[in-house]
Amino acid sequence: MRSEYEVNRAIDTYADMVRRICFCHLKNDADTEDIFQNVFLKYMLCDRPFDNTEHEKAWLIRVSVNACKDYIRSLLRRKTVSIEEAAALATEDHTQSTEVLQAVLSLPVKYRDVIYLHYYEQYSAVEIAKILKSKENTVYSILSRGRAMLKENLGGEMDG
Amino acid sequence: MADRIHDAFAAITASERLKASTKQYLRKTCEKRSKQRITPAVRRSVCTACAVVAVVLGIGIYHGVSQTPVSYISVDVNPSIELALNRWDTVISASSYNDDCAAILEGVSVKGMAYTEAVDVIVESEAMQPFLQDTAALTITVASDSMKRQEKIKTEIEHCAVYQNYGGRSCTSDVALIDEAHGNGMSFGKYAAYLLLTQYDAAITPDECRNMKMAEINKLIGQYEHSEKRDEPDTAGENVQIVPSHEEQQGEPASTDNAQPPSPIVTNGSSDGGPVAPDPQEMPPLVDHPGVDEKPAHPKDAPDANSGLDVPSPPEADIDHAKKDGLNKHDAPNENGQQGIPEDVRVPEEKREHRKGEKEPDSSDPAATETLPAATGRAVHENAQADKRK
Repeated sequence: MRSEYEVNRAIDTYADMVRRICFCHLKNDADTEDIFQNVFLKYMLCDRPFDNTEHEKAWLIRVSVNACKDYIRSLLRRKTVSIEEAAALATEDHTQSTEVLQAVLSLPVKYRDVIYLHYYEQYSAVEIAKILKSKENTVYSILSRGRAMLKENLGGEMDG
Repeated sequence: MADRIHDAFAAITASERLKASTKQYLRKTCEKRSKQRITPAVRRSVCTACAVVAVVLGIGIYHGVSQTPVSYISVDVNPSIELALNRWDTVISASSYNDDCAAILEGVSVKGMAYTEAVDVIVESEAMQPFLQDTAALTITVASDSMKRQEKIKTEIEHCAVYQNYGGRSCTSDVALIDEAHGNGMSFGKYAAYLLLTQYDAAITPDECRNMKMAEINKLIGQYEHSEKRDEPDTAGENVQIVPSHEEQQGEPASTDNAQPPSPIVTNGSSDGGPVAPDPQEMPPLVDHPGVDEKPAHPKDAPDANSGLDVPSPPEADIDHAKKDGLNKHDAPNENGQQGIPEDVRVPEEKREHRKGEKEPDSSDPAATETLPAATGRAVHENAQADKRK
């Protein structure tokens, strides 16, 4: 089990990232908070040493994605939140950002993860494939299709 | 476009409240876990240990049950082999009670077989064949802790091919006899026959019986049974069950004053439980004995000048057997000064009188064939009476 110091450092460093991933999947604050805490609980209980911070970050991304998928699969999840509500909850007073976020959240789950990791975390397709344990070509396809879908959803605004 | 997506995601942040609540939650969880004496690792170890113990216990119980004998089958010719069966009627051990059957058991492996198959294999083994010649008597005795199982085993054995091919004889016994039999160095089948014999001849000892063939024991019993049957013809034809005898029964010869000697035999369906003759078909018939037409069947029918009893002399073959089986003890004077006939074998005066009054059987009567030895004995007896009168 990791020390309190290690856990607090990880929360300070990766809290935003974990919340974004959780939000991309769950779209509401209550579920996001549950999974957020579970992810860091797993981190605390994991005795596995990390090679470096990149390794640690990739591990947390992977654990967050899996935790969200498990939660969605569980029968306990009954309540659903509309995309508009979710975007409004996530961002306040950012009309333009909300519009883009709505467009991203309206994509299927597999597109959201890849677009977040590529456009926000700046991972390459190869790195995304490794983290999500997927094929590189699949990641390229998803990125390409996701970009096209966003363009379509947002009209000509995404050009350039 | 990339920047706009980046900005959209950048708007999602974890609030300080969320971070603080998460830190607090993890701290509490950490404290709770440190207080727990049974860690998940310990719990896993305990569960694994319990599972292992359960499996070992299960295997142990199964092995124990499968290796615990509940039924026994004694196959006796001269070699005596005893099979122990478990709850599922599978042979778990085969024991030999003399040198002959040790050789038989070396040649066959019956462990794990169904009992009918095991009996087939043993009786049909090459080593057994020399013992199954001519007058050999295959006797199969069954004992079980449950009457139902005992009857089932007996019935199934009676349907075995070897049982029918070799003209077997089956009987049931009590498991309580087994230890007693083993203590006397005999299979319980032979011991049961010995107990049956002691009912008529209390002087016979286990040592004498141990070296006798089943055919010899059966013949002696048959002779006694036959004379008994003449006295109580109505009780013949019932199945015989042998129950443990009492020590005093073996030790003290029964007196003729008693209605019946203490008996290890009970009959199925008999209300008074008194000793009766077994099914004559199960016993070796006396008419099979060579020379029986000329000579009486029973040693007690023999005339004895010293005692004054006017009974015919026994056949030579019977005398030989009697000598071999310890019956020559009867020649010595007993405590009453009578010679030749022990008290338990002597015929009461009134019975002898009754026999004197019997008519000679009609030779044309088919029923006379079965009672021929007795009838012949009586004929000789009447001739002796006539000679005396002269």
